[in-house]
Amino acid sequence: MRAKLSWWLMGLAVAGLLAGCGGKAKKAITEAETAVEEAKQAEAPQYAPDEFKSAEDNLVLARDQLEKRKFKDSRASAITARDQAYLSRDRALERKKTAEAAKQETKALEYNVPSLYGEEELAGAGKTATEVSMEDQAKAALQDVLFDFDSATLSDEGRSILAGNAQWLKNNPGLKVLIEGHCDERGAEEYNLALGQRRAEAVKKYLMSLGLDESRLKTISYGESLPLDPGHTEEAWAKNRRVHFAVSQ
Amino acid sequence: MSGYPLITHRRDRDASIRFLRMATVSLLIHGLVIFSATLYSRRSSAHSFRESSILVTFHESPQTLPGPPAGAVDQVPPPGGARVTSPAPSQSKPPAQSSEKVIPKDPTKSEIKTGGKSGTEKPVPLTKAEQASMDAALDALRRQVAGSEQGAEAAEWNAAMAEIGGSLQSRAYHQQAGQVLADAWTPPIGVAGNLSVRVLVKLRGDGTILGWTLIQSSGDAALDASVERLFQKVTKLDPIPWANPGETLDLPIEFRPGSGEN
Amino acid sequence: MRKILLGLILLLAAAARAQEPPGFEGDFLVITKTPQRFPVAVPNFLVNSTSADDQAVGQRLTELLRQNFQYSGVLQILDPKSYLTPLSSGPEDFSAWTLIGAEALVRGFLTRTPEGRVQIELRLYDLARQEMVLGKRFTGSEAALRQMVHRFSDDVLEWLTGRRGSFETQIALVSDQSGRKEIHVMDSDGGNPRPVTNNHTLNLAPEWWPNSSRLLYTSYKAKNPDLYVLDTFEGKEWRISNRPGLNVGAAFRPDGKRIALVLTPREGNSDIFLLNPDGSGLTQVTSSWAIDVSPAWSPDGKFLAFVSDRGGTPQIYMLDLSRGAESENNRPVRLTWEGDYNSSPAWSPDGQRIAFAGRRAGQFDLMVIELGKGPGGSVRALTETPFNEEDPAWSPDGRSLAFASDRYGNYDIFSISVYGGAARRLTEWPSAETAPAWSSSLKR
Repeated sequence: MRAKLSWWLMGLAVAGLLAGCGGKAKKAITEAETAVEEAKQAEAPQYAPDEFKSAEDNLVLARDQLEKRKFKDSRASAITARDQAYLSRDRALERKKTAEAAKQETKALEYNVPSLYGEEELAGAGKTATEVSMEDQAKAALQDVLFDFDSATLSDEGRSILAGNAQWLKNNPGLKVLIEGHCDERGAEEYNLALGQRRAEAVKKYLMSLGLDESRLKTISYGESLPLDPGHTEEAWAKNRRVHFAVSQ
Repeated sequence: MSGYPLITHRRDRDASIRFLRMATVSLLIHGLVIFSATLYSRRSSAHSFRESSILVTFHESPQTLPGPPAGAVDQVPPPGGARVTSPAPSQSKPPAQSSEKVIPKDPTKSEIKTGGKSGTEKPVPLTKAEQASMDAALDALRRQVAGSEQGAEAAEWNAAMAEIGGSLQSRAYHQQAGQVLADAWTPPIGVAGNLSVRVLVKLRGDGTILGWTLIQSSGDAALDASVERLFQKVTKLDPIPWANPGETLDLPIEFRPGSGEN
Repeated sequence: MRKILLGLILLLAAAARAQEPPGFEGDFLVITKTPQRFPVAVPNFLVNSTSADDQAVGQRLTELLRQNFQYSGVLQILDPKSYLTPLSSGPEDFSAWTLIGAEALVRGFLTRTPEGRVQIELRLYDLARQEMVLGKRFTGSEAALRQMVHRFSDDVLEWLTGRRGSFETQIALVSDQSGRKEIHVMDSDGGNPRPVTNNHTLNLAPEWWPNSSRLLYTSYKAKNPDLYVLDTFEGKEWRISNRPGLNVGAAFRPDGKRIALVLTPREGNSDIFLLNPDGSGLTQVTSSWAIDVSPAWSPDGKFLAFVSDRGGTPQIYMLDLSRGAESENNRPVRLTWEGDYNSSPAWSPDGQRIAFAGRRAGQFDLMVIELGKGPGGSVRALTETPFNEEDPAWSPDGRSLAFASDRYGNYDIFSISVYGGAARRLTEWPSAETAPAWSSSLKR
């Protein structure tokens, strides 16, 4: 009587174990199926076909192996299927975004832009259409501030330009601005780098005094290396002795 | 004070002592002469001046002498003797006492040219004409002396004349020798301007350079080497006029690169 | 009467003896002469080959040797047209060379080894001693031929003056030939130029690490002027300072242990700081509200020359670092008092002078301050052209200066001997080349 019971128990245990192993695999397969479903909704078969196919194949394989009671292999395949499915979902989302952006850009260009905005250039890769048009707006709105030779002192005209610039920046609060200091080509390179830095800092300080937050303002000096006008005349030099504004999000 | 080249001369020691005695006796008079001459001087002298004014005194001619050479600054002013000679007059009027002098004036004597250009250029040697007139003056003196009463004084005259003549001869020779060496020397560029090399050259009377020794290195190997190279090129100078061909003489020389810009 | 006269004469004789005859000092006959270029004859290389290419190579090497000697400022190449002797590889006929005024003769021989490498033999003859005093044989690839000639040129200078030349060196520079400023490196005669950066941003102010093939330079490739070290041999690179604002104008202390550079930590005010080559150990040197840039070390590392506009215009100052940083008790001494813009100081390797670019009448000229001639030294112009001469950099032997000049249109790099003579043009591109830096000697 006792022996029979223990045999039954053992048999149950074994069955239970077998059932358990199979249970893990089944669980994995279920997860994979969910993932594949999500990928489908993200349009992965369209935007990430390779990854999606790999996920599906692995899923089929997992089911197969489960039938053949190869639980370990089945589980592994199911996990792979799940990972591939999520990968394909992510990729698909990314690519969809880029495609949309491209569509938007084309739309923006086709739009009849008024002369205030530049329309000649595409923004760099990765920029959205909104960013591009914002840069163009800024280019038009934020004027350069000019300086006398070997000076970093703001003139009255400079201050009024900065007042206008400050106002525009306040109206566009999400933007950060890079304040670039430049010099004309005369004089020593190192000294001009320091002078350009001084000019940029003077402008930054003034903008802060007009109420702009420091966290939005960054300075850099290019010295004499990036002239606006490559000429060697007084007019060219006057244009190059400047602080220029470049915005970013 | 040996303000004189080490080319040795025979010298009568006793005569020397007697000379000095006489010298002290007439010191006052001489001092007056020089002092009054000083008042007429326009420039400070170079030594080449002094040479001329001696002859002027001999010839009793108030010659107007040209000024010192431009490069006189390169040469160190005479020590000791400066008191006596340095304010040498460019135009020395013979003092009142000159009437005491009996040295005849040599009408043929021409002006002695003094010095040349900068110290880096060659010193001007005496021309043959000048040499000849000097000799003539000395001869006249000797004739005078020969007719004097005291033979001893005559001897003193002779010795004095010989010394002066010898000194002039030696000077000329040195200038010529210096010129030959300067022409052949190539001091290298880039050496510090205040250095100098001192050597002692052994000469034979016929002018052959028997050898040379480095007395004092300049501290710059390249400069020393340039002097070494010079003596490899130049092995003979002119024969020495007052020495016997077989005699050996010492000539100390100092080589200086004239400062360029550096 | 006679006695008085005799006394007179004797005194004068004594005086004649006492004073210095011309050319004499004490016992010495003094011979003074201005230093001169040493006359050398450099006939054509003898090429042991009938190939026209090899003949051309031999000719180019001859030209290179002649130009090295001529531009050194210390040697004079005698006109090749005056050379009388037909060239042979046999014993030399020295008299023929002495006849034309040469004091030394250099013979070169070029052969190709069976393996296809090249071999050149260079001999220097001292014509006073009538013997060979220097002889070298170099074997290597054709690409190395120029460096062989450079090495021999340095040897000849060492024989003549006791100090090696600077021909076997490299010069780093900034060139915008690609459209953006990049760092390039070339031989001391302008040969074999090549770019060492290629990041299409802005690259400035190269400076050599002493006795090394490494370069310090400032680059905007990380969107800020940061300081990098580049090993031109291995191509490796790393950044040592990327503080906000400027990290520029780096200059190595000659012992290689500290770097001076310009930072702008306080509201854009540029000051000079010191840094270890690994980026640690930052200390401040200048602390004025003026622009302080362009540090230049004295050879003993005790002084720093720099440019400051604390007096109103850019002028050159000097600080005694042995007394610490700038303070009430340690003020920088101003060295330049003329002109409204004096910049780019460069201290000579012997410590005797500082070269700089001074603006006179609207153009920059190369000028030199002779130190040790009283406070402020004495200043003289090294170049005086109606064009700009800027960015002086000393050769390691202190005999030459590299600089940038726009005399032919766009800026080019030139070198000139401090003993005078023509400037040697080192770059001939239509772009602008500036900021030369001269390496230490490559010979180890």
